[in-house]
Amino acid sequence: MLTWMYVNKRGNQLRLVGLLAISFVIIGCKTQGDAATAANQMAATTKTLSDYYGALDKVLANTQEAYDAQTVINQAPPPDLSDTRQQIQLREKLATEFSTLSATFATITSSTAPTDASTAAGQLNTELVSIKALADNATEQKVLTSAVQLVVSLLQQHDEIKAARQIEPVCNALLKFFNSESQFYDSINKNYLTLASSNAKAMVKGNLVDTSSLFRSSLDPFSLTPSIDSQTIKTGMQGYLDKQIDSTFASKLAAAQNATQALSDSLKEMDARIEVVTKDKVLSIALPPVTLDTVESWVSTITQ
Amino acid sequence: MGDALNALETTYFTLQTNLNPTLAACPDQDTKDQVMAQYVAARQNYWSCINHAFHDDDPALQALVVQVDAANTSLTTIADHLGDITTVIDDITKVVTIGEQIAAKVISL
Repeated sequence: MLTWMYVNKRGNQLRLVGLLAISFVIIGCKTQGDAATAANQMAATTKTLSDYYGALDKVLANTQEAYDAQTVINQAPPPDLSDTRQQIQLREKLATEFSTLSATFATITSSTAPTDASTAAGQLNTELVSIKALADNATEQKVLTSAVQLVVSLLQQHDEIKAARQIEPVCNALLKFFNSESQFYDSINKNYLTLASSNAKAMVKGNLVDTSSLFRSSLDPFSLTPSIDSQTIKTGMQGYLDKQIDSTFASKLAAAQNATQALSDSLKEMDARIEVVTKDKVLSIALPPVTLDTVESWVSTITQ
Repeated sequence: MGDALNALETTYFTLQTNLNPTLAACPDQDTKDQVMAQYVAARQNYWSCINHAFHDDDPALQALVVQVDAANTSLTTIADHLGDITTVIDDITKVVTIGEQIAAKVISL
């Protein structure tokens, strides 16, 4: 049984690296085509996982800037978020490597040429040794590369079902790992929006924002540009702008939380597909989980 | 959501949301400094817990969470009591102090 847990900073034993890679390919497919499809689906899912972590890192970068802005507003000393960012960046890197590994596994399963499979296997091992968490542990690295070789061998023999049955627990472990940390991810998003909202309202109250946006829809048809100098109008706009801040806060928070849930649902869906295939059934779904679209949509709003 | 993180988040986010109006209600710099010190402590407690694992099954940690939950209720109406800044600062100090105990407990696990 191939079960590794990657040791993260919290001490949880979650080494998913090689097993996750293995899971896609193996997914109990009867045909080479099914194996490649499953591997590609997992590559897409873990690619989105990587994108999610990248967006979360951007949120932390924005949070750091917002703390710096708060220092200007009310002299609150800013914290240092570098440790937190480092942890998220590590998860992003791992997810990226999982995606690369699974795509390579897809190549192996769809390859009929022995040399292609050997080349892909070599590439896999190169990816594995580049993962820092493994590079620091020679024993784990040896075990993992041996496991990869075993899986590659099984795939080359087209014994996907046997290989897949060793993988399903790992995919389940990835799902549990993500779910165990999802509350932290949501909290990071909520913190940024709360901080930004506080700063924004302080600036509105201090007449430090451009209040002309409300008037553009009235002036644009006539090619006119607003020029708000009246203190009365600026003060009168504060209630409107505060409401705008509150409603935008709510919608952006909901979008972030929906993205986290959608990613959890995607990982759960992949785990379910793998389990179906290990029971010697046909993988009938050709596309990655549709819930990935919700995640990518949120990612695009953060990273644009 | 984990009870401990939820408790610390509630304290910190409440203070963050009300920080500027609370500072504005302070009669002098010394009072402002007291408010700011508690806000910074609550924020540190929060980030300490984000960066460390939570073991919500720890009995001592659970007891602390119960205390801070009770204290957090006193912060929910902070905006309505800014006229009595001394009491507001006392309430904030109580909650943040318990939060520091939670954060220290988490770090030690």
